[in-house]
Amino acid sequence: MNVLEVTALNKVYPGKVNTQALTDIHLSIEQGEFVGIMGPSGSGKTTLLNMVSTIDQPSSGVVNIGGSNPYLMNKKELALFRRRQLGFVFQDFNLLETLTVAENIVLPLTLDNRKLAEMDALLQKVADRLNIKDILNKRTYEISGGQRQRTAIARAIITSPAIILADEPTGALDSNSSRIVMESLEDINRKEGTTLMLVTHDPLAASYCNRIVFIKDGKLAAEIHRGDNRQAFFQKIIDTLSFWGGNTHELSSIRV
Amino acid sequence: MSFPQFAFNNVRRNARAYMAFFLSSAFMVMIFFSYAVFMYHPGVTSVEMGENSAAGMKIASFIVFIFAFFFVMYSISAFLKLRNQEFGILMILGARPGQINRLILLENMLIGLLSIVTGMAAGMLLSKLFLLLSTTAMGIDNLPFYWPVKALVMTSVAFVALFLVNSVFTFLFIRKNQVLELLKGSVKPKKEPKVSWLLSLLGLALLTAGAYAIWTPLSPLSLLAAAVTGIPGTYFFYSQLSVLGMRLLKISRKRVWRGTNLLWISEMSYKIKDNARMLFLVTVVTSLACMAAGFLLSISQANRTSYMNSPFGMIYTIYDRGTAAETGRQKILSTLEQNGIKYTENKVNFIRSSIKDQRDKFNSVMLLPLSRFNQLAGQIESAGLPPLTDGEAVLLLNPRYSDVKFDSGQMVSLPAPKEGKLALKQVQKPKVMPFGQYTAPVLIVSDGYYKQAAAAADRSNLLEYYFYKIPAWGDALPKAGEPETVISGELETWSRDWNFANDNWDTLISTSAGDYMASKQGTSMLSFIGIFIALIFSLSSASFLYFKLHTELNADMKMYHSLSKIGLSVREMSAAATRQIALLFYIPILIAAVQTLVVIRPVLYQINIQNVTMPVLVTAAAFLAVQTVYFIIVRSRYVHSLKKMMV
Repeated sequence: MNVLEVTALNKVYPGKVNTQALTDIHLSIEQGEFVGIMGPSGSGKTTLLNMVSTIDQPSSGVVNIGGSNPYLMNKKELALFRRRQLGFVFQDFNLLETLTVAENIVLPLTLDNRKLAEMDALLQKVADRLNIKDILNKRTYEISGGQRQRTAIARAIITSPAIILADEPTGALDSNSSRIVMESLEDINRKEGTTLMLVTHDPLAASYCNRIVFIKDGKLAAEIHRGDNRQAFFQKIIDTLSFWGGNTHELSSIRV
Repeated sequence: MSFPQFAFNNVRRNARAYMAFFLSSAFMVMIFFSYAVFMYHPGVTSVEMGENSAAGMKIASFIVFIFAFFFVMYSISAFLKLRNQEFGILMILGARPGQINRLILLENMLIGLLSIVTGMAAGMLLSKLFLLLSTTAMGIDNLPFYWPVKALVMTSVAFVALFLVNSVFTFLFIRKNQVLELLKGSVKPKKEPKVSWLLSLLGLALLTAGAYAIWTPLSPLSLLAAAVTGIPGTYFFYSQLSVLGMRLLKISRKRVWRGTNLLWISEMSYKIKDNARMLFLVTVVTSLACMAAGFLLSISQANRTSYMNSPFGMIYTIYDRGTAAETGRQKILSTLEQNGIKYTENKVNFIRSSIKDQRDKFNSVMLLPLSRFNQLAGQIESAGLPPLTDGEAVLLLNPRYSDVKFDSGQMVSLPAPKEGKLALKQVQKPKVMPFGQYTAPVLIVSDGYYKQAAAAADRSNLLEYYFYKIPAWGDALPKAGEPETVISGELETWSRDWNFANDNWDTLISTSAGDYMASKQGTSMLSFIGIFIALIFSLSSASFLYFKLHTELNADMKMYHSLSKIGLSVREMSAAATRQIALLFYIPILIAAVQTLVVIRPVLYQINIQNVTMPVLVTAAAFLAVQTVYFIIVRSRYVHSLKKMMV
């Protein structure tokens, strides 16, 4: 079953000179898949993510998430849809400083007026899974970047969404925290069967995916699948990037 | 682009942000200027009441000026905080601290000069109206419009100095050596607000001490003590007790973890602490305005009540029957007849005496025989009294002297003119003393006892009163120029002049219309000034809140933007934001109303005005109404800006 189905998606930013950000994108993600989207800067990764996140309107084409088309909903339905069907993980975490870790995680549930006992049970479960039980009562500025991102992941999965959308989740983290965060995402994907879509620059982070879709200049460029070996997959990513990216020196900044 | 052009463009392109600041400043200039126009009016000093009023206006403009000073200082610093990043960029590009200071100075002076010019132009238009209003309020002839050179000069000098000093002050606000901090804006994580038990208890103690001080007998010292303890107490209330209150609110997770409560309660507990200083300032300002307005309203209401309930339009008092007595009476009768006014004349003979209360203190009373009281009962809207024995009496207290306390059933002793002990069968406390507002309590005794006392009394203790019941007067409040007011005024003036001319103080004419007008004129000027000050305070406090929200807008926009991505609907955002703004707007009003009630009641009790709850509530309601208008405007603008960030 496809959780996400993107058909013939086009996005044009109108202006004095029209900018064609995405051209005829077809993409489907199955239940339980972990898909990465890669591409050079300006390739349209974030535009695609915004379409899937329902925060930007496509110019033409259809986005179907979990069997419903979010662009046919009104604003209120859309907010509820995002809250219940989508989970977000951002590069800069987007946690509220005024709340504790636990409060940040349960925020989507409180907005839905869930029962306290239910919220507590879910909180314990996700905190356990992401190994952040000890810091639940801390404030967000008292914990490390990796812990913040895991808090954000906990917030994303607590509603059991149809798909989790991660936008450069390791972009602001050091290599060790990146590894822990990516392992957490992989773990969630494997054990819970949660569907994940990851947008990233980082080949190391991308190597945790099952499948990677490359975009260049707003068009689908390539797609590679992971075998059993992550190391080999990583090399494949690098090769594809240098092939599609054109210049190898663009990759010099990427840590290996 | 030259440097002044850069500053000019900064202001011009930021016009929307500067608008509120500019308008409020211009408004204050306008009010200040209007007062100044009145003060320096050549016609004012020549009028009897004019000089007092000008002094009142001077005080008022002084208050306006002080307030404007703090207001401008706050607004400038709020704006500068918003522009930290801009200054950071300028510093990285190599701007010297002096150049940044010059930029700020130029910008502020530009806005300052604009608001001074606009304010004075509007003030010119307004001053004609203002002169008209103030002369009506004082009851003097219209003052003509004039070219107010002195006022123009004074206002410009005062406000140019104000903006200049404030700009220099604000140089201190920017830490120019911390470029990184400036560039990043205010990304420093907020600290969790903490409660200090010691400071909380201190705040509570100060508030209690303030309340206690105001209940002790009225004196400048007790008022000062109340202000000195109450104002810091209010500050601690906001900085400590409010955080404590929020902490208590957060105890029940069941309540907090529900809907948007989690959002606004935790945000609020931060903002309350952040805003403690501002809320405190707004509260003090609102309290002062509320107190002034409530005070004036109470006095004017008491004045109205006493006029409406006075049964006799005119009272002629003869302290010592001599030749003078008949002259005055004839003057009254002839004046009334000349004007064709119907009246009933009641002559009452009182005997001056005194009674001892429980603390052995003598209270002077006037003896009145029961039969005479019952004859007058119809005219003073009393039911009349049942017969009294020689050992009994009924006491009619004057509500103006609230420290005179007797209970029915009590035995009182009279030392003179006829020594005796009487049992108080009844003690009545009417709204207004029917036998004149300022007369002593009246002790109604049996006819027999009265005769014996009259026989024993010497001449100086026999008082003769003529009460004139005038049906045409007393239904509606007297206005200047009406026959009632004119005739009453004439007779009172005649009586005073005659006494002076003949150096004879045996008689006095008093009228209830005269009393009413005297009290009204005394307070109307005050109310006029008071209302203007209250208006400014209320407007400025709303502007304060607006600026505060404006500085927080960027952070809030960011927060709501990311929340909307994870599924916060517009309605939920609006609910959370509205609740926060509402609390900021209404908490000061609520606290101010309570403070006003606490402060004004004992103060007015001591000048014998007891009905204060209503006037204070009316004042608070007026403030509430005005604040609600501001609230609706500010809220809609704020939510509108946030809505743009919702995806």
